[in-house]
Amino acid sequence: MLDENKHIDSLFADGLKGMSVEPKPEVWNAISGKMLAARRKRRGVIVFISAALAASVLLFFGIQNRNLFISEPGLVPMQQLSDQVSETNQAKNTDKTIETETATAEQEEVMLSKESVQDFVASNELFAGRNITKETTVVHDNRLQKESIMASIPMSVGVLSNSANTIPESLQYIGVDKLSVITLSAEDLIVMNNLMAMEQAKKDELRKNRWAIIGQITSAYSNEESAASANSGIVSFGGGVKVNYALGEKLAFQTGFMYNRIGQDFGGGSQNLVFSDANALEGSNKDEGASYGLEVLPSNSTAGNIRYKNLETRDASQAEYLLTSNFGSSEELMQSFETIEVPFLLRYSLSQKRLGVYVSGGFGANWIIDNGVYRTSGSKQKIGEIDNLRTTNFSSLFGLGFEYNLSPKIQIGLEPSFKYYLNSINKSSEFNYKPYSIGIHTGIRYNF
Amino acid sequence: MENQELEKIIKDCSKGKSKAQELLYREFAPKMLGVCLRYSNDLSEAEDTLQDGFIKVFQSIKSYQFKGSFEGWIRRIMVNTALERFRKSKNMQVVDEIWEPDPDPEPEESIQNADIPLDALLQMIQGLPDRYQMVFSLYVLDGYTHNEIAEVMDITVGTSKSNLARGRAILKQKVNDFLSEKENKLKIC
Repeated sequence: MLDENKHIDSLFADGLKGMSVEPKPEVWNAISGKMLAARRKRRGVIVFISAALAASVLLFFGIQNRNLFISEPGLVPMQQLSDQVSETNQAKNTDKTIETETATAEQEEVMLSKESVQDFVASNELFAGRNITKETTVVHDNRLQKESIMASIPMSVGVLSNSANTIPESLQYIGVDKLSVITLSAEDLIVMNNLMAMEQAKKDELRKNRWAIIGQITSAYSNEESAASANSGIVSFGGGVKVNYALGEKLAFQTGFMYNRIGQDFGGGSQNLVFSDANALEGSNKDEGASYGLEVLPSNSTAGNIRYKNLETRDASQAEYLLTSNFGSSEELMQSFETIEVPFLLRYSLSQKRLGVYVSGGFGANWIIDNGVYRTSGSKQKIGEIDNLRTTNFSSLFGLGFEYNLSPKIQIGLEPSFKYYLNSINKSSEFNYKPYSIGIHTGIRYNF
Repeated sequence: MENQELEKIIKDCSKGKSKAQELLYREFAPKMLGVCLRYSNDLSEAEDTLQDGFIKVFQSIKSYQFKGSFEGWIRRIMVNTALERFRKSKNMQVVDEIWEPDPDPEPEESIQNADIPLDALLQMIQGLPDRYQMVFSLYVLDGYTHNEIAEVMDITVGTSKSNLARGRAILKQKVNDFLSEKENKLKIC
């Protein structure tokens, strides 16, 4: 029995152990296609991380060099920053294009990966043949080519469809001139049908993922356009929820609720002062004026007049003797406005691959829900608020965003953005306070 | 292919160079397809296994330490890939079996000197029930022990032995049938 087993084993082992069979060329094409896709995915992640780092560095640079923003009322530095961002993005886009072109050149004859074939076959059961799907995929990869083919399809094509190549009723052109029948080869019909089915599949997909919800947190640097050199911006955190509605393949509308804080640090100066009883403030730092038993505070900020609370103040802003006196305020103060913003944004996708790139722009309605002036020397203490503010204000919004697909339903994103108030937030014409902020939104998006 | 040349290709592959990957594939794909065929039901399934296997080879080639045969290393990956596909597709329901030897074994002379073409041998193996095919290929053609087979297929050693014995018995029967048919054809001629 044992021997017999050995014989049967050796019969098969001798025959099959060294067996070589040449595989079909498609196997290597599929392997190299998958390896290429994996390389692209890795590159995508690297680009995303680089963009995130670049955005962080830009924000850090902006905060560190905020004097640049203040010395030339916001315009020159912002222009420079904008140029830098634009150059960086152009460079990245150029690199990406070169990479894509190189990869395309290398893989001219790369066949479809199995998954993509299956996906397509699933969406177009009528034409499950391998040759057909191959041909269609080539077209799918080249949008320009696809569009030119679509443009070349005559309007009477619906007439030519037979039972095997039935065009869905919804896809047939309206107003077809049935008399002007043009002969098309069967291959053209198949290509055309595939294209239409693909378009329909895209529309179905879009319809399926029309709505999305986005949760974001924001870190932002804010200041004011015409802030005096003594003032500097503040960094704050916010966040909120947005709803995304896809208007088309690339265009989407977004709205939601966002919590933000804007403001500025200020203090010092020797004009427009008020005196208050220094002893009325617990734990307050005494400045030069305090030697007279008084505390010297500014009567206003660039945003408006300050209404001090719990302080007996005496307005000295018009006092002529101040011009020759040593009185001055050395208090470090901060004003901040907390707002709830309802943004109305249009978003346009520049790239919809695993790593998506988009630009967004629009305007926002901002409601001021809290307004305060704080003493920041020592422990932070609210001492008053800005008078005569407009509750509802409008701002313009611009952003350049990156989104990385974790799954078809979930994406994570990063969006450097710029916001600029369109109106002065003070009702009085005496003050023209239009703050701006540069921020980075990070968040997660869920399609449903 | 010389060892130095192969070493350079492996190093280039670990850097992700696509030309080197293609050279490596051209060198080993035919032999590896031979391996995959023994673990598959047909050529198409074998090519799928080959494809998945080579992607794993390229993804993990950095971990190859240049110790031992590189062909053996690739072969191991192909076999593991085939086993993975088998586990996924078959959702294997293994029942422990006890093998009782056939009381009336066939005479061995005819088998010993059998001249059977390769494709017929391959078809016989591919015609076995899947788990017998796996165990037979692992044990007889790739030199796994019953302990190793038990581990990779998540079965007991006894089941492995039993599956091997049943596989052998079926193959023996198929060989005898093939030889009888061949003999009949010769007689007719």
